[in-house]
Amino acid sequence: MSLLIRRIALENFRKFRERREIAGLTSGLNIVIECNEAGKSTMLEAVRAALFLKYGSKTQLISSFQPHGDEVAPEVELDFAVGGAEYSLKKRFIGRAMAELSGPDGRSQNAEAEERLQRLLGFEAQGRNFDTDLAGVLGMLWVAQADGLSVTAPGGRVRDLIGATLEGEAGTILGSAAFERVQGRVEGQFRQFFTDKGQVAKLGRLGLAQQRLAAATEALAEAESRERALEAAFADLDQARRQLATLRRDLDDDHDAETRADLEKRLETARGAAQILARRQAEAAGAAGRLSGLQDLSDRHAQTLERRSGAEARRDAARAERAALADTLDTARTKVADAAQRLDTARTERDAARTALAAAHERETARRRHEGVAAAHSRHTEVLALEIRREALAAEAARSVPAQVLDDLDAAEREVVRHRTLLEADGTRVELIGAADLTRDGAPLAPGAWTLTRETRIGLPGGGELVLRPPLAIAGAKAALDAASARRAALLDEWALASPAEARARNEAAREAQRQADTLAAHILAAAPADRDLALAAGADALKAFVAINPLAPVAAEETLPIAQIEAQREEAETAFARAEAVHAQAAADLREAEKADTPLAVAEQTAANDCASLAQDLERLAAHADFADLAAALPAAREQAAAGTVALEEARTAVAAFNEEALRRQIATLDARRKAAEQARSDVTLRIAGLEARVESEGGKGLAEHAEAARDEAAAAQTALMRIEEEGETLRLLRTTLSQAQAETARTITGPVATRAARYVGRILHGAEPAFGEDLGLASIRRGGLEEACEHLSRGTQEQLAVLTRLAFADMLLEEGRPVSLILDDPLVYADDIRLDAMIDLIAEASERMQVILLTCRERAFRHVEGNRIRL
Amino acid sequence: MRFIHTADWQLGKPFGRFEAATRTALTEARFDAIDALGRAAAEHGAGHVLVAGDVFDTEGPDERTVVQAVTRMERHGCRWWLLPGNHDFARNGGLWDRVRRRAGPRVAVLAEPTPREIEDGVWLLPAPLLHRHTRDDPTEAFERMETPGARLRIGLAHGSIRDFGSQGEAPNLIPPGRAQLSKLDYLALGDWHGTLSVDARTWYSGTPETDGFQAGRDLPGQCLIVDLEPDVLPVVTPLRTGRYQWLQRDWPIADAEGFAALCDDLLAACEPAATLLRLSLSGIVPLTDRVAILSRTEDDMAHRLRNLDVRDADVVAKPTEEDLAALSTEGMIGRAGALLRAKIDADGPDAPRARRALERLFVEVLRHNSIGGESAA
Repeated sequence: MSLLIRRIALENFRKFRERREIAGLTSGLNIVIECNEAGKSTMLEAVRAALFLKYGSKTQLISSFQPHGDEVAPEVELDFAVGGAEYSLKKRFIGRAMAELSGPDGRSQNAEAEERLQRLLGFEAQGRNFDTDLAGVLGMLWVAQADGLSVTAPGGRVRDLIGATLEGEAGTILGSAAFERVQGRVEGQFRQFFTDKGQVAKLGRLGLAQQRLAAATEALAEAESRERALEAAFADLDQARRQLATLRRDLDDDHDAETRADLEKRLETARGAAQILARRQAEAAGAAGRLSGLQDLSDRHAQTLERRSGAEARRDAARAERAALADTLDTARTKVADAAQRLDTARTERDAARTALAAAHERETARRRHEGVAAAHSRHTEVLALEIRREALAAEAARSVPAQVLDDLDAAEREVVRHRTLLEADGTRVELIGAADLTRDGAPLAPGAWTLTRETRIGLPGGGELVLRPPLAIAGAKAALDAASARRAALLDEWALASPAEARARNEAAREAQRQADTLAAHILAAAPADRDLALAAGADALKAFVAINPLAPVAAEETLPIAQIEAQREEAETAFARAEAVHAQAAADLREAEKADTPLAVAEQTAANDCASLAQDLERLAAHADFADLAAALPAAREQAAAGTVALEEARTAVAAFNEEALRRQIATLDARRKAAEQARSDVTLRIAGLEARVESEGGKGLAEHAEAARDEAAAAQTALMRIEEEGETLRLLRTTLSQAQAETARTITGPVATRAARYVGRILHGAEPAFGEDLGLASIRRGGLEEACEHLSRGTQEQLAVLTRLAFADMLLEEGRPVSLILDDPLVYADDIRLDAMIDLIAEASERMQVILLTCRERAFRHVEGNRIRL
Repeated sequence: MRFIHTADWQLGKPFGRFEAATRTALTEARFDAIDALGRAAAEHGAGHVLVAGDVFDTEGPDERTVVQAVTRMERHGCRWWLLPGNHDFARNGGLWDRVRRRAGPRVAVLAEPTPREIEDGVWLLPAPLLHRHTRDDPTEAFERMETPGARLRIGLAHGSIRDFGSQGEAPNLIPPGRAQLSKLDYLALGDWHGTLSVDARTWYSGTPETDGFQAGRDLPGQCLIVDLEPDVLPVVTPLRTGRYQWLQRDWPIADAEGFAALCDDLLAACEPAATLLRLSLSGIVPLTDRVAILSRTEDDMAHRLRNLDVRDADVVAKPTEEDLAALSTEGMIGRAGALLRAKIDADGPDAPRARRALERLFVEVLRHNSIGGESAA
């Protein structure tokens, strides 16, 4: 069933102060293309006001319909057809407000008219603000500017309508009023326990039960702790009382006192025994002392006697032995004296022999020196003679021509010969034969031949001169010859030689002289040897010097024994001395041996003698002792007395051991300390009991046990209550969840058919995409390419397009149900690209074949080509 | 010689598990029992009231509890002989010193095991408990008690009678033949809260005001009026003193009607306002009946009785076809019901909770219908 708006007229409505009428709206697509602020949206608003707003309403929305600054009555007229029936509606707001609907059933006015209208078009009365949900299907399908930009779920009423539509397909029904009421009640009960989010509500029943339990638990802990403290005090008190009783019993008990008295008595006895012991000890000590003194005296006397006799025996033995030794000793002494005598004599002789030998050696030395000096003098003379000869030879040797000079002389000679030979060979032979009066170089020229070697002027008779000039080479040779001759002559002159041969002869002589001189020098050296005895060095000079300082003196000759003889005498003397010495040493050793045997005997004799003397004195002293006289009688008596003393002492000791005074004292002290401690403890315990009694009395009166009992009951009750309430709450939670689940499941059975319808449209715009709807029938997501994309994440343009598409789908479903359906789109598809826009326009055009579509737009170019009924405002 | 034998007053018992109003009523009733005893003594000409232990619920009661007890006793002309029991055992500086400080001449505290001549030739042999628990026989002291010129010897003790057949480790045990052993004319015992005769001369009086549920013990609290003459068996007469009746019932139920009948019978047989009922229910019932039973207990019985404690975890509500049909009329409600039934049938750990949730759902659906019906009417 289509809703067809035929005519819209408005006056005093927003910008339309004057009456304006838009007529000629047809079924199918109506396009209103006007620029911005032409009043397109106002027109849509006016239509909505006429249909949905109460004429008598004075809301701010209604007031806003008045043209700015004017106090006039906005008025809208609407002609429309529903399911073929024609209606005419007129509505005026604010001043003289009215509503009038005329249709096939006649005319109705005001409230009645509005009620009829509601029933006819299926909407509910609006409140203060315009609510698209209350406006029902048309609220959804008449999309105001910008309302259609995003995908929104249809309102509850529309959902109900759609649900009813789908009843047949889904095989179930959507939430009825009964369900909602049950759900509401359950929710209400649930909220007595929990918050909206399922948390325990603090002031809810469960929260309060929890608080009650917490408080009860705390109170119980407190009460029990106090009760326990009191019980502990009772226990302490009980224990203290028992302790006190024990203490009292202990203190009152006379067993300890008896023990103590007994101990005192025993202590007294012990003291007496101790005194007796001391006395006995003294007595025994005295007796023992006397016995020991007498015994000592007797012993000492016996010992002294014995020792004296021993000493005497020793002395006598020593004496006898010494007497036997005396002869030997005397003999030894005599021998020693003799040996000493002989030793002295031998020593004297030996010393004399030694002196004589020394003198002989001195004389021998002197003689030898004199001989040496004489020999030196004779060698000196010989040397002098040799030296004279050698000097002559040396002068001869010194005349020799040096070898160089000889070589030079030979060289000069060879030069002369060579050059002369050259001249003779190469020179011009001139020979004068027969002529005289010729001069040569001024000198008369004898006939003969010569070799012309230089310019020679031959004075010819007549005064002419014949100049002969040898060739230049001959002239040079002549000069060289001359020079060589000159050099030779010079050398010969220098060394006073006649010829080189002479030089050689001289050199020969010189060498001979030198050789002889050298021989002489060796002779001289041999003639002046070194003499160590005379401290004379080798050499002529040393000899000369020695001779100079050691003139040759005459030596007196004397007769002496030969030194060897003297030497022999000394040897003999030495041997004699050594023998004497050995004899003396042996004698002395023998004497010492004898004396060594005698000395200990002498000492022993003397010691024994001394001992005898000393012991004799001792005996005298002992004899002088007071007790000595009747010692023999006194000693046995003393022995008896000491034995008796010892027996008495042992008895006394036994007595003392029987009564250990120290132990007794300790026992008594222990008893005293015990009593004192008990008394102290009694006083402490008494004090403690007083304190505890006071505490018990004070605390006991507070009824702690009863309170604790009550607290226990309360805690248990609170626990039980909490469990019950918890269970109740959880049951409600389960019920609530189950109801929601049932609702969701039901919703899911419905969204399927919705999606199927929408898919037809969505697929046209987004190829291969499937829409998925939520429980609220809102488009939740798009699935394409296996991916789920939530609506709110899609592009703005796509969202806008999907918003239009889902509306188309819903419109189709409502149309099937026979609801009055009409689509008004105010400035739609602002974000669509050209291809999408064309596709959308195609879809809208198709829809317009089933229902009236009014498209309001400001985009001339985009919609210019669309075929449809063009309307101008 | 006539006296009243009573025990186990448990004064100051808190009853913390009950609602505050019930709690107060039960506490006060215990004090009132003293007056009931005093009046009974006067009416029956008994000069002595022998209390065999557990006068107080704890050894440390509130001062108000002590004062209430003592002042109430002092109001009456008889003599009160109070024996410390295990709940209120005697100790130095403890409860009984407080009682003595408050008490007048009519109240005697038997905190020492010393015989007392309460009338000419009538000796009272007390066996007070000096500890909460003791392994010793507290009445063993009777053996050594001198009662010169005794015409009648009355033992007073608190504890269990030793049963030689069982391996009893219970404390404060009293040998069963104590009355004979100690040549007692009567042994007044406390500890057992119901009236019980051990033998002709040995009795538990029970508490004068019941303080707990005990299966098979429906009678309200009572005391014993004892007539005693030498060489004759005592004549013991129970006398009601208690106000409240504590009933414990265990009902197997099949449907709401049967349950209603049981309820009616119970209410007819008791004084509901003075009755505390612990009701355990079990059985399998239709869901509608379950709702009706709930409604009966919650909306009717709970208000009629002094206190009602229902334990119905063992009642299984099984929805009938009709129930299910009622639920299924609403698509989503039906679906929710099916989800819960699936949980119940799976018998998992949350099955009991699911059962309760299903009941709740059913109740809500029915309530809605009935409200709808009411409003229509």
